[in-house]
Amino acid sequence: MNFWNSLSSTAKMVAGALAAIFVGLHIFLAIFYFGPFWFGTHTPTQPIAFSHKLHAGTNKIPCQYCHTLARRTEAAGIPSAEKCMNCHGYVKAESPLIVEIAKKFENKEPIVWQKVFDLPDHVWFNHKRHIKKGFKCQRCHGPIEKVDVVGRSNDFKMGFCIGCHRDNEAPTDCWTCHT
Amino acid sequence: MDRRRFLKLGALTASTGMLGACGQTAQQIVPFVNPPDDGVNPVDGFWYATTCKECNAGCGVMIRTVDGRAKKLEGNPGHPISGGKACATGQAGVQKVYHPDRLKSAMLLSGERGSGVYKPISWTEAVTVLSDKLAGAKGSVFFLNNGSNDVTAGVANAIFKDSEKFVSASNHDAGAESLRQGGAALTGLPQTPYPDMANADFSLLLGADIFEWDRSPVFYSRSFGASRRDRPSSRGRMVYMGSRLSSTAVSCDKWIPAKPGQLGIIALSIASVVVDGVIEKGLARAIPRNTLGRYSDALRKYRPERVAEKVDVDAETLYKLAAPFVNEAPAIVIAGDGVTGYSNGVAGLDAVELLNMISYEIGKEKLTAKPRSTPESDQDLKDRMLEWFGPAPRKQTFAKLKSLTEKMAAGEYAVGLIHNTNPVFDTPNALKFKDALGKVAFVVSFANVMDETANQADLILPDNHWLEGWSAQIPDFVPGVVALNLGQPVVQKFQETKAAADSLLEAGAKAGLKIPAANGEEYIKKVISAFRSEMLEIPPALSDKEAWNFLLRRGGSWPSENDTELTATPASDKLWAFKGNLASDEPVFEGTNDHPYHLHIYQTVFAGRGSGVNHGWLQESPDPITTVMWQWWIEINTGEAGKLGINEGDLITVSSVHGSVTGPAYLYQGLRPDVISIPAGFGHTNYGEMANGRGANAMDLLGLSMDEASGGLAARSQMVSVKKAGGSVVLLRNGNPDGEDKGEAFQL
Repeated sequence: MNFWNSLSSTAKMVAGALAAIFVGLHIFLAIFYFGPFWFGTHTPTQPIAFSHKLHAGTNKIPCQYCHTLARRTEAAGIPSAEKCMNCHGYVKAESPLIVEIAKKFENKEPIVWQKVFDLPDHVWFNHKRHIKKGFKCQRCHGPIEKVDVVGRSNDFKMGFCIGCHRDNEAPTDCWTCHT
Repeated sequence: MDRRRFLKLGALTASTGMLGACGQTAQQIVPFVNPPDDGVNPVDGFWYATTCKECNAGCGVMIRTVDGRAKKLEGNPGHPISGGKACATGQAGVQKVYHPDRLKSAMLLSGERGSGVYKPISWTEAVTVLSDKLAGAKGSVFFLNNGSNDVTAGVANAIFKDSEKFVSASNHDAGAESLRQGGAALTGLPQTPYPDMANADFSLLLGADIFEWDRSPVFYSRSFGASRRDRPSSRGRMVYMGSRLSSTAVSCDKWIPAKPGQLGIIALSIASVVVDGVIEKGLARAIPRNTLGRYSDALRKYRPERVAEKVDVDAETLYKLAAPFVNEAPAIVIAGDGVTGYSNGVAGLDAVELLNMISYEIGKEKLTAKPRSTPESDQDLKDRMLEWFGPAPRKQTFAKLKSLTEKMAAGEYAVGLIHNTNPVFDTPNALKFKDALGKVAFVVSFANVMDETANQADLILPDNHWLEGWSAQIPDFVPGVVALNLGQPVVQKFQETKAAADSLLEAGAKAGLKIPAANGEEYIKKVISAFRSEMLEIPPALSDKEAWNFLLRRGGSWPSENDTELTATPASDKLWAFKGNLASDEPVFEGTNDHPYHLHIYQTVFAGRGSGVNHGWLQESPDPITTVMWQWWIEINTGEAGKLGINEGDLITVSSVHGSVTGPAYLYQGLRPDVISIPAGFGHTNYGEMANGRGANAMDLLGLSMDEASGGLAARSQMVSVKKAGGSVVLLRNGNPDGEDKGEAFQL
């Protein structure tokens, strides 16, 4: 305490400010790292209670029937309302949820889904490359055909990607993902 | 508030801010209600064919767009110039669409000229202002552009063609007219020559920086690759002669630093050896021997041993350079600024053309040359097409621009229309274009970003970016064929702009002038309709609408390989009728005894004449030779700098009789000791934040020496002096040829 008391008031102010920044930075990093969105479970409520279990599990509709862009582009893509109505114009057309989708489709109003899987902007992931290599969607997205409400089942920290890249002898250069 | 409370509040605010940043905004995905057409991939986007307008070469390109925005430019594989390739400047073109400096609307001057005080006006109002001025001008109008034969030039000429006072001039690259005029006495066709490097065993480049800013950097880069790699028989060899080891020169096998202004003499000297070799070996039997004999007599005074000292290249080297033309033909000569930049440019080019034509005859006998000829296949068709797109390039000279400037200064024009060029910045200081522009009653600029010329205008009608609107162009340089390039709107407009041709047509109609079409798109359709029968690549069964879509998908009209034999008749008849006109005058240099150095102004790959300097992508690209980024420099020979006590980065002042510029020295071994080399295009004062204040304008040094035979600016004729200005700066370089890594920070 003697040392602290020996400091001038300006020095105390600077030291206090530095300490506040130091603590604040660590809180920020901790929240960022352990925060639920990027790296934790994330199960948002969707505007339509779509069940992957019913579609992909019970009815065994292939993932890429709806997510058609996964094999062709970086993004897997979310199916259009028209894609829903291709079947539901006939199948369970009277169901309240389907009626809701049909109404939006007729009004040309898009369904705004909540994003479940996402990566920070400094990470570049390409679905096409992984699908072409033969990986199942479940390798990253988990047993999605067994759940009604999709949440993030895998921890998408860097180690998750690197581990798999190493196991499969894929490149681990920084710019493979941070491009 | 006491200090303690201030600190508490400060800490609380900072913590709140940081915690706020930790939050993740709700991420949403909005899919299509109805997806685009089957097979279309919205992520990969759509590809459209169009034409790049970043320079005048006229490369056909493909643009990838996603959600109505341009993402990527690539060459159009079917196009005769680009052949599927694109240069860095073209690639950066997509950035210009979304440039922050783009003008947002039409603007009317509301202060003094040059004050930059403008008020935004609606397009209806703008067109009305222009129409009133055009109606009042009674034909006393000039149109000035960069030499492009495009729709705007065509429309302006069509509207005012009946007015005797109307002038359509061009502010094009220096030397282009000499290039066209050279060899015309032999071929009878004043046009840009097409030396076929791709099929040549040996290429001699006389000051031709063909991979930078010449006829078409993309075409010649392709040809270079083809000559080096694509010929199983032999790998093409190249020798570059010129004052400076340019980007092009470093790609060649050898650089010979010939004396400035003497490349024409060197061409004549090589021709003298070749002609004698052809006679001696009995080659090229199609050429009458007496014709060759007369050439031999006329060229005798240029024998290597007679001119070696004068041109500063030893006789043995000249004999070696001549040997491939006789022994390995096809060999070719490509002339560039190193020949056209002097007052004897055309004479030198006559010798160049003679060499090429003789080599073609020898090569033809050996059957090693793909018989593409120098002249284009159908000059008549090209001329008839050009009538729709402004004056033919051969009629556009610097002399005409000078004459226009004199008339402007005399107050002869009521309205000046300036499109796609910046003459206040990039014409020689001695021309005093800005002063002359001040005497024009009403100046209209179609610039879509503010520049030095637009800043002198009374009315600014921002043109679309070339990706936003319709365009058509007859490129000057098209190897072996006649082409009509088409451009189409491929992205949504970024700002409230209007095609320059549409502005002119609307104002012309309102002013009661006779207009050729309601808008630019209709004008292009009229051109296609007029030439449909000669566009053999269009399947005859197609309706007009289908033919239009066919051409848009293709990117324009040019004969496909199957439709035409790229074997135009060489102008042999003219060649064999010897006219005895092969002679080269001494180049005239401008300067006094106090100006011991030759001024070598050149265009860098990225800056061009200045248009690239407001480009972030281009500015941050290291110059291929100096590796300088975001800066301007003055090149001086390393040994010469040592004599003058100049180190890299020292500020030096270069002066001519017309003006002076000061900048950091770059010491370069690849420069003759008697030459000072300066990149053009820098030193902007009103071209946006990225360009303003970077370097000085090399044009401040330049006078008006011309090649009288062509009316072209002899841009390399200026002599200058150099002295230290005091002080120095650090040149930001991305490494350098000596192996130092001064710019490590940029290699991240």
